[in-house]
Amino acid sequence: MEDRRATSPSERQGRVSEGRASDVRAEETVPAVSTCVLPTPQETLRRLLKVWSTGLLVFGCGFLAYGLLPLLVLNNAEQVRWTIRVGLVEIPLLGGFFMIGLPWVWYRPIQQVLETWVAGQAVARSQCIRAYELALLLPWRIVLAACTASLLCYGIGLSVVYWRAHLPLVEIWKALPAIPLVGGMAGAFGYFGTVRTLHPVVSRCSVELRHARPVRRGSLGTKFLMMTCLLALASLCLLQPAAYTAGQVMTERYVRDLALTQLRVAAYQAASLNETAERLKVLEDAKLGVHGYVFAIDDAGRIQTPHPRGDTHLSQEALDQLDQQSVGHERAWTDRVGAHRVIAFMRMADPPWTFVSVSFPSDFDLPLRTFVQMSWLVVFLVIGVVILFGRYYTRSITTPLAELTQAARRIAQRDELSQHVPVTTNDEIGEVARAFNRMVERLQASKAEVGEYTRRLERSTQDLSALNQEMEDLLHVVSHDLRAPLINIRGFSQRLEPVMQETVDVLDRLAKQAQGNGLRHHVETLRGAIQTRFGESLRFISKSVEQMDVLLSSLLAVSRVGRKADPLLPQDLGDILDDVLATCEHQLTQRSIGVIRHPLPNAVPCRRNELNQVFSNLVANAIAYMGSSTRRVIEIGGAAHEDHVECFVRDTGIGIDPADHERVFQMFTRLEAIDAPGEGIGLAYVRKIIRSHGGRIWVESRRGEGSTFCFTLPTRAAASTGARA
Amino acid sequence: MTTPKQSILVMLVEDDEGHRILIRENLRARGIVNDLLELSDGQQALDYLYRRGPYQDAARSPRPGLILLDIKMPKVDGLTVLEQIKSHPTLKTIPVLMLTSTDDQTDVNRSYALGANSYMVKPIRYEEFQERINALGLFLDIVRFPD
Repeated sequence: MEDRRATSPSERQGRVSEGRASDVRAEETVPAVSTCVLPTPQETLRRLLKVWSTGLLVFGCGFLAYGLLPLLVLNNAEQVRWTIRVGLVEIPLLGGFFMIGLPWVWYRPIQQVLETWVAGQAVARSQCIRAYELALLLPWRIVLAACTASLLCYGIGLSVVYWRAHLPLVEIWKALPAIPLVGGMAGAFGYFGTVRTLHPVVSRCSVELRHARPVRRGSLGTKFLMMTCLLALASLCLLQPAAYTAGQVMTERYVRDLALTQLRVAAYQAASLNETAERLKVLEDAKLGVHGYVFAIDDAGRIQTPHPRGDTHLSQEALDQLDQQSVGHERAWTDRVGAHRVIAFMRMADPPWTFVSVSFPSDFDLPLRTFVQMSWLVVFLVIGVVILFGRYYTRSITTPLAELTQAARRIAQRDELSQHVPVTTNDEIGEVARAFNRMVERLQASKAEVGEYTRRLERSTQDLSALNQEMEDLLHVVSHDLRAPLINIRGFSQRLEPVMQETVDVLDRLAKQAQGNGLRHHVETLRGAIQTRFGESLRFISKSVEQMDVLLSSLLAVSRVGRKADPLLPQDLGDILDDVLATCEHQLTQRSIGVIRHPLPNAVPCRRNELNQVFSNLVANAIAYMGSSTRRVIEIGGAAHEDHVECFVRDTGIGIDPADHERVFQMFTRLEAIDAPGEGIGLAYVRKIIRSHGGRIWVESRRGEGSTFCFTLPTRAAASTGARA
Repeated sequence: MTTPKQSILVMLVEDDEGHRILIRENLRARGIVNDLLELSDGQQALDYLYRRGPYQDAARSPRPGLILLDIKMPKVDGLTVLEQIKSHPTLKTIPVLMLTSTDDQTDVNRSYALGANSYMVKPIRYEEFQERINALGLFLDIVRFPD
């Protein structure tokens, strides 16, 4: 078994996900989680076949025992022979079909599910539910099949024996209780064996299906009542034929003794009489019961009967026996051909007549019939009592269970953890209730704990988002406010330019007019200093201010993403790219970079100006980092998927080391020391825009092999929710 | 200086002294010689327009014909001033030109929503500023024309 312990949980999970991927979407599959060890399908089938075969054996033994025993007791060889013949044909054919063949057909879907599990694959939910129900129903079906087999076997068997061996009707009636008894016995055997064997399957199904409930529901009370009624019925079926047979045997013996005694009295009296009529009159008194009759056979073999109706149609067997009797001999036996009758005879010496008395035990079995009727009454009385008390008793079990179920359901549906079930008994049910209460308390504590953690998490999330907001506000304010002093620096430095130019001009003129060489030299030196120092300073100031202005503009742009609540409108990404490429055209031709354009998705919900920034930054990046590659191409394309579009901008440039793939999207990150414009904000800006649309961006690249920047944009409802992220 | 009757008074509300100087000089350089009233915050602007405090004398505080209004200012910001001007029955006829240091669309949109007549981004480049001032000069020419 150990080697059959399917697979490790992780492996199983892996397989399940594969199975899920290949499954049809609509068909939800059940995760393969297991708590018990599953036997192999072959092992299960072997055990079941063993159980069912034993059931069939029980059935056969029961059938033969209940068919043969009364016949053996009552001693009729012909009927016993026919019973054995019928049994040997019926039990393997009918019994085998109902008790092995049908259950095997019913079991096959369970076997398939079991095979799938053992192979480590996922089972479709509908299939799992079917196997669950089948496994629960199968034991009951087996009971039903056994009872049907019993009914058919007895029906056919009794008919054959009745037809071929003159089985008396009373024997047929006596055999009827054996039908549910034998069927029930074999069924019970099959039931318990099947339940035990299928237990791992049922528990595995219940674990897999979690909250699913079998469509057909059963009740503990009904099951209990059915069991007790069956037991009462079985006890009746078991006892009644035995008691009836015993009663029959006793009645017959009594009738035989009585008949012989009467014959002896009649023979004694007849011996002293000479007239035939008188003798017959004496004989008349020897008859027994309502239907009993007597007659005499004289030495010539003529039948002398004391009454006109005299039925002397005895079986050949009986007459043969009478012939063989010697003088003075007496005997009584039961003839079981047709209606049972007790035949008693006495052979007299003088006159040499044989007195024969035929009597019917059924004339004397009134107490026996009463007993049978009373026993039915008693059984029904017992069943009534059982139903009455059983209801009360099962209620004492089911009521606390129902309370538990209610409480559990309330917890599951409405999360009411204040549920406590009352513990009213000190038995196992009470123990369950106590365990339930403990579990609820533990759950309550865990929930409080989880709630506390959730609150803390929420608080820190709020703090974080507030902090983030603060940072963004700061970025906005700073980039906004830093511009005011820049305007002054630039404005006032530029105001100095004409003044400086004028001063230089004046000094130039002064130098020309200056007489002394010393003074001219001084003036020229001063003019040179002003021209170079001032000019240079103003140029640097101007350049720095411009750089800072670009930086501030970029920062401001980044801080603005997501602050504005502009709606997402369907845009043609191809149009946007047209605009972007038009502005870069000059740079592209200058650097001799080719562009390959693939179709881009249309009607994508986005903010046009932001997507314009995305493409221009990515294209600008591709141009900037083209390096000295021999193949200089930028490829741009995209495709629409079910709920998003995916676009890419691929270049043949210097590429990015995989270790830096995440870093490139960070602000102020510039990986290359090459002379490319920018402050390392572009990709951070792009990522912020894509994220604000609810999409994601990544780069696929290796050093020296060019880079591919890919991004997605959601096209469904996700776009509207993701837009404010 | 032209006579007060013929020229319209331009009111410049700007907290940054440097900006005030630069704007003034650029106006003069363009040849716009209108009287220029310089105020350094929104509160002063409102006091002047509503003739409160030191500006109670109507003769000495004539109504401006054009207001150049910075958005970010201490005490009362430009947008509040704009709102008050445009909700006043007589003051609302005065054209207002908003000054911003960035082209942040939020500010621009709010300005227009509150009734601003135009806006101008205070540029970094001197040449750009010159262009803006030229445009302003044209605007003032048109305003002055009927006199």
